[in-house]
Amino acid sequence: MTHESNHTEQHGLQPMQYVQIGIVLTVITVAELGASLWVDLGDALLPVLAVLSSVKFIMVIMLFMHLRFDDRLFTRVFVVSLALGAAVLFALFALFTSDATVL
Amino acid sequence: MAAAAPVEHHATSTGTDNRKLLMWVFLGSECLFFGSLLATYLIFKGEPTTAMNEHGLLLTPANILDIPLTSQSTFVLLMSSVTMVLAVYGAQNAHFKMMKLWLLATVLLGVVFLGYQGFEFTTFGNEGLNLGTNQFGASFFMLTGFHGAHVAIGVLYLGSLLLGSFRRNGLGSEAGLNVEIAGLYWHFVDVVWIVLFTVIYLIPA
Repeated sequence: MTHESNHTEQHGLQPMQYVQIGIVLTVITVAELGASLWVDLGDALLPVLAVLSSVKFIMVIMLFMHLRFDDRLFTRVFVVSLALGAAVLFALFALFTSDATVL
Repeated sequence: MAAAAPVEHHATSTGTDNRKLLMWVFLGSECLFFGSLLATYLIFKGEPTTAMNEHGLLLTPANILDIPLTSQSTFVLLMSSVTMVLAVYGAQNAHFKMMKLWLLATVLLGVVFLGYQGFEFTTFGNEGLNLGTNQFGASFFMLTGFHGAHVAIGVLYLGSLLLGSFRRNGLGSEAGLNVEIAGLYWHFVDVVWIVLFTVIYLIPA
């Protein structure tokens, strides 16, 4: 009979490190809120929010989803898909917001 | 059988587990799915509307979105990613009590997030904004609704693992892998929300 046991190669960080990452993610979220609601950054708001949310995104996929420690194949699959998703987003947005008329 | 059966390792041409690769490919397809929905939202969120609530306020993103409330639900989902990764750690290191505890916490946090979303949707509905009110409403409910559906599926997925872990044999010989694959799905739902929270709520209309 097969019993529940540990047969997966363990990779990644220690529990306290995961908690610390959670704290960092929370701090970044508060910084995002501050940038959006409490501080007038003017034209800098968009790039600041883009950088902050990108940092959170990368931290979660690299450290929580273990892409940093896992096989490179998974990183390639995800990055290519992400690039395709972004391309779809920008293509649709450009298509429907362009003033140009196609004859 | 006198001795425990050896664990079957699935040899693959990629050198990685096929089930894990399948989950990554699925998550890749989800990038395209949410990319399309996000594009639709960005196209329509600024469309002029004449729809108003009972106080005469136009039903636009700037007038109706409640950022402090959504910040709380964002915090809840972020914390659920921490509890999920702790559950994966527990499963991979044969700390099964730890795994069950953090799986339960993740499921509960997922339910709390859905509660926040249900409250937000109900509030918007009471204000007069629903799927058919205007283009902002249609694209907003489609985008956040599909994300909420993913969270709900994740709650069921993790809930089934949690229930399975209480069986006599627990999650079997590959508990670590099973919980890790579920964790990939859950973290993806979280990273999608990281993008949606910024684009929908934090960037001004």
